[in-house]
Amino acid sequence: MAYTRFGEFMRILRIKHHQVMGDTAKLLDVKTPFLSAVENGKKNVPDKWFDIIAKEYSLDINEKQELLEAIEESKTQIKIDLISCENYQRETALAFQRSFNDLNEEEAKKIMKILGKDCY
Amino acid sequence: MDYRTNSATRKDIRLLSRLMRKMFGYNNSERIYPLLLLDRLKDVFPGTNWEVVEDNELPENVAAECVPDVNWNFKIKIKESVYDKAYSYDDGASNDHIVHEICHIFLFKIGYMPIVTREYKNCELRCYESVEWQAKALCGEFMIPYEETINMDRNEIKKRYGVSSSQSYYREKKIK
Repeated sequence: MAYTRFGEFMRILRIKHHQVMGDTAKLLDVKTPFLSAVENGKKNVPDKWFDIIAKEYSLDINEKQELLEAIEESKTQIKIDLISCENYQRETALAFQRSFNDLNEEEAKKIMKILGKDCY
Repeated sequence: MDYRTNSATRKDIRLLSRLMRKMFGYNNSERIYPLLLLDRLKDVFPGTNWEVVEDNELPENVAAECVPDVNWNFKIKIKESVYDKAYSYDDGASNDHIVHEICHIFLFKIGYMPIVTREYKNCELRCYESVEWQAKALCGEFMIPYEETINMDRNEIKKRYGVSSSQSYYREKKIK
């Protein structure tokens, strides 16, 4: 695994502020292996980290947006609430989950197009 | 375990240490801070990654390791206890363990790569053609600027440059 976008964001932030991973771990009140695992994409970024990081480094509005996007893109798992949805939505989500690992690039692009999203 | 590589003398290694300092943005005299090097790895050696892992993820007698992937991009893994000692106490031995792995990457990238796939037991090879000796020597030369430490004793070297007792002892011995 390589750095996620979040890991890269934090790496650059630390270089700018002449800090090391241990400083970030202390700030976030976590052990260094946990932080390292998050930055390497093995674990999700905990929700409360955004506010702590934004406040500590006095991020401006653009930097906050960049951090938000970095956290979003670095997710290792996503959850969909199936409790309050229609049957057709539930079936779509479950079908997507079952076939996700077998999706090829062409199929993924078609799905993105249906959803009205830009292709990667 | 060790591997044979192209030979390099201590003087060669000393010259290379200056190049390595320059690559990381240090001049030939200032003190190196290993933990700061880690976040710079990706800029100096593109494709390189590193992580701190829980102690039980590495063998008991291994403080840190450097492993290539199929494309010869390297990943350094450092034990939590080693990182924490370097961070909390500026522990010389821990600093050395970290820089040692970075030295492996530098040496590989500039051509001192294993030239025989056979593994050797430690101390089986002549030192100047040993991957492990070269990394250890480079670590010492990189961390302890030669000209700056001519009149220093080992304790002063250890304190000023944050290196292990063995590295500072070696430097003091060689200068005298």
